[in-house]
Amino acid sequence: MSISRREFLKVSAAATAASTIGVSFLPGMQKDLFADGLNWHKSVCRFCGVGCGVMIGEKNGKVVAVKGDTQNSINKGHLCVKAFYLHKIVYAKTRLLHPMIKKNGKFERVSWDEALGYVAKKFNEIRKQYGPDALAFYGSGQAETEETYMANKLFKGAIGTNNVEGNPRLCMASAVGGYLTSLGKDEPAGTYADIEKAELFLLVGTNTAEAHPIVFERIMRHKAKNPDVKIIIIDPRKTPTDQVADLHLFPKPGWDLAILHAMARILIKEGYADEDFIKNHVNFHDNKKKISFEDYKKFLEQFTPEAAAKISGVKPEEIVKAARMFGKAKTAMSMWTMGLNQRTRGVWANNLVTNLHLITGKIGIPGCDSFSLTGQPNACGGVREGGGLCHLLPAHRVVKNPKHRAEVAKVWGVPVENIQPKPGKHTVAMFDALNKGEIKGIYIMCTNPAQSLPNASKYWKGLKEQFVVVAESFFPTATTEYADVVLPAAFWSEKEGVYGCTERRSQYMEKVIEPQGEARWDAFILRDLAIKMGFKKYFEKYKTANDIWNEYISLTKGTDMDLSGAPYERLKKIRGITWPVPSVDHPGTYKRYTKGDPIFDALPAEKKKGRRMYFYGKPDGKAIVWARPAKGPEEPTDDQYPLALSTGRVLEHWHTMTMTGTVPELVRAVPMAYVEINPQDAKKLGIENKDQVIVETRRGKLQIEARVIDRPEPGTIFIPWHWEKWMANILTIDAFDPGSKEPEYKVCAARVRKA
Amino acid sequence: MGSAISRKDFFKELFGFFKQEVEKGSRPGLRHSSKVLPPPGAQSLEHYLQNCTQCYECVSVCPPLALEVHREATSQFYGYPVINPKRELCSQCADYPCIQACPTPALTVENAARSLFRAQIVQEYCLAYQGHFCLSCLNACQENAIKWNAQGVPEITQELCTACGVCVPVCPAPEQAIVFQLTIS
Repeated sequence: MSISRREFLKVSAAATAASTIGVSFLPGMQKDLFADGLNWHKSVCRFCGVGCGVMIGEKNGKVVAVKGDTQNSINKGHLCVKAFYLHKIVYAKTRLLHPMIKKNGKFERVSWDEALGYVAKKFNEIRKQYGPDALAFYGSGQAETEETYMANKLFKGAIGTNNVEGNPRLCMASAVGGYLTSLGKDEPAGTYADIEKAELFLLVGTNTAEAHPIVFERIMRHKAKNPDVKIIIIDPRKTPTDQVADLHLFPKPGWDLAILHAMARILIKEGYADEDFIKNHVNFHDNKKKISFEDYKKFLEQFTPEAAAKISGVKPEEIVKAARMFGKAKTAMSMWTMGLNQRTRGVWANNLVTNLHLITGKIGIPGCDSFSLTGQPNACGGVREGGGLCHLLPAHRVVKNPKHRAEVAKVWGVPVENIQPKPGKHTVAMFDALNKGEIKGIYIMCTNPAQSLPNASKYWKGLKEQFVVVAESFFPTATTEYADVVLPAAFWSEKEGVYGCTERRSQYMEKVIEPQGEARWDAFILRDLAIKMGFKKYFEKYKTANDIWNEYISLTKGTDMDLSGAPYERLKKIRGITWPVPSVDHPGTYKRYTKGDPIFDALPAEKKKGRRMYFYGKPDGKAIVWARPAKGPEEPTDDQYPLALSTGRVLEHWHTMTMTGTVPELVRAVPMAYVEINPQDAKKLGIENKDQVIVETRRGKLQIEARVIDRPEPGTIFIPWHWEKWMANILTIDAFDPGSKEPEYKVCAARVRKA
Repeated sequence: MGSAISRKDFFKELFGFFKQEVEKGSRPGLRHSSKVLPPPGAQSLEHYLQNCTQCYECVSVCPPLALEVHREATSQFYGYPVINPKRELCSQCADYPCIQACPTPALTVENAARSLFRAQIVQEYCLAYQGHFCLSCLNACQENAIKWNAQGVPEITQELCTACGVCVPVCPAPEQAIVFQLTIS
């Protein structure tokens, strides 16, 4: 392909300038100027749960470039602006390079031997004196599956405590609970492939443009090609996602369950229910017992559009319009994320969205799905599937099931008595126990709870007083400040391993370079710690990443998330695969619970008679439509605290900014935190744009800059949570969903005044 | 190819084209694309460059210190007061202290309402036009002047742009992908 001289000079000037600091490739470029000498390695983005394919360009043992993987079906070569700068983050000056122990209040560099020896000694002392439950592990949906697997085995299988948790408890637990109660098994029934086949999108509690950008881009382009595609948003805030919306309902934060029930009522009343589908595939339940379809219809009667409007603050005619749009569309895809999950009734909110699809039969066929968006890159793969929560074991098993304990103990080669039958402490309870001194030692891996926990400052006490080990790639962070020991962890591109994303796709990431400084792979840090603690016979067998992955996938064989057809040899060649994949020649599964799903296909014919779907996680194969109460937020607004506070994200930053905060281009895009205040509220409060204001909740006070903008609806305010300096989580509430134990970050009561 | 054109029209067009080019050439250094902006209140680019005496009174009274003396030797604004949005944004003061301070006709309140320039995306540098996903400028714009077009890339609606410059410093592309295009020369 020819390139004009003028274009060549222009592009090469830009590229040369960029090359001194590392270069990113623009797929629009007509010629790979640095094609000679660069080795390209296949990987997956370090950031969100979309799971975009990223190619890492390496030369002479250094990562010098990244570009989108054009062969990856998820993103087809596109990257968002965060991924664009991943090559810079590898070499951030804040990389933690050496193990350190805090001596006399100061971090001192030590050898790996001394660091791990010290941790092993302290952990053994604690468990000897106080029992195994005085120890805990807190991991991450950004850790590789192999890393979480090792931690799970060390703590549940060797030490013998179920105090194993991870930050997906704070973001996806409600989705897990929703799927288990509605459909019987965790994770979506469909994949991203439904996007290009959907006529209607219902986006609830998601700012897709900023939190799942490449998924948003696919939706946007799909609609541009097919102008009849309709998009409905239900969210208290206007966001860039609105640019593609046809209808936007603005509920008062936390009061949206009534809207979903009202939509269900209209769908049934106006003939959009698929009676045939309901008869053969759906049961109805309320919180106590199984009920009939008639009972459910009676239950819905209280949710007239007017009643729902009164509860939620949305106009009744808009609720009717949304329901009719959903009902009329031949195919419909609902997507949601933190807006519904981070709620004290997050599981119920998840149920109510899935209800709409079960009532209308808009599930299990191309273009139709109740599709939960996962926030982190490996919350699905490592934690939900790997079993990194206090009640789980690998491959969707549960600690309370003796058969499951036996299966896992056998593969782990540990005595089955080591694995306790009772679930351990969930995240909020874990850090509460740390505060009380019930937990005396904790190992924190790849996450930053001192900033990311709700009501964060409450939990600094435990972090300060107890023995804290932090395995982390960056230093300092809010959490390392409390650490007694910090262990330098290898970062993305410095370790091989698997990430499993939103659409059940497990993808292999290559190790491209050696870790910086003395950083080591988390999985081997844990192995060597285990050996030092005296568990050599359980851990010495793991010599390579392959050893860990092979053992893990052997545990998935025969389960609903069968990954035995996805060994490294296969994953290295392909752009990931969606489970269940029971053999190496199986192509992976697009739609679960229906024809094409190997588990469905293997069911005896009598079971499937008259059914196009069989929800094999339910005893009779039928999904459940739940008649849940329409509960509101834990802390509604009142005279003292009249504004509803919500927190969230911006495109340019990720979580606590340990990574994106090291990229000058991303920092200049959004340099500091702010509180978004609706102009109507600002006027009443006498606040102008850029004023310093104090935002206060019952849990804390924050001084921050005001951004007066018509985004949060009147009566609500919004703060992006990325900055340690302006820590939004000292304001948020740690009340949690009794079912999922996920905290209600998305709504609490606040007040604002000029500073 | 279009339909046939008459001889008369052909020469009219040709002459018009040359007239334009000659006029452009007779104003040395008048460039239509710029990374910096003149202060508010300029009648036209030519008028500003001719009338401003570079006394820098406007620079000295600017409350946010947005006005600065431009030091890029090859620029048409060399030595002139300019706003460099990458460094500091104009506060859009309602009483225009800069215009009040100006002793020449270079800046007048009557011309303050509209900007000579509008923001424009440089497609070669913009991450979105190069196949990536970015929305920093779209998000920053207070006038809703930047939206995704039918191709799914950000587009500035010129009529809505007030050249406030807020989209410039937020652009995370390796090369600055927003410049200003002259609309009133």
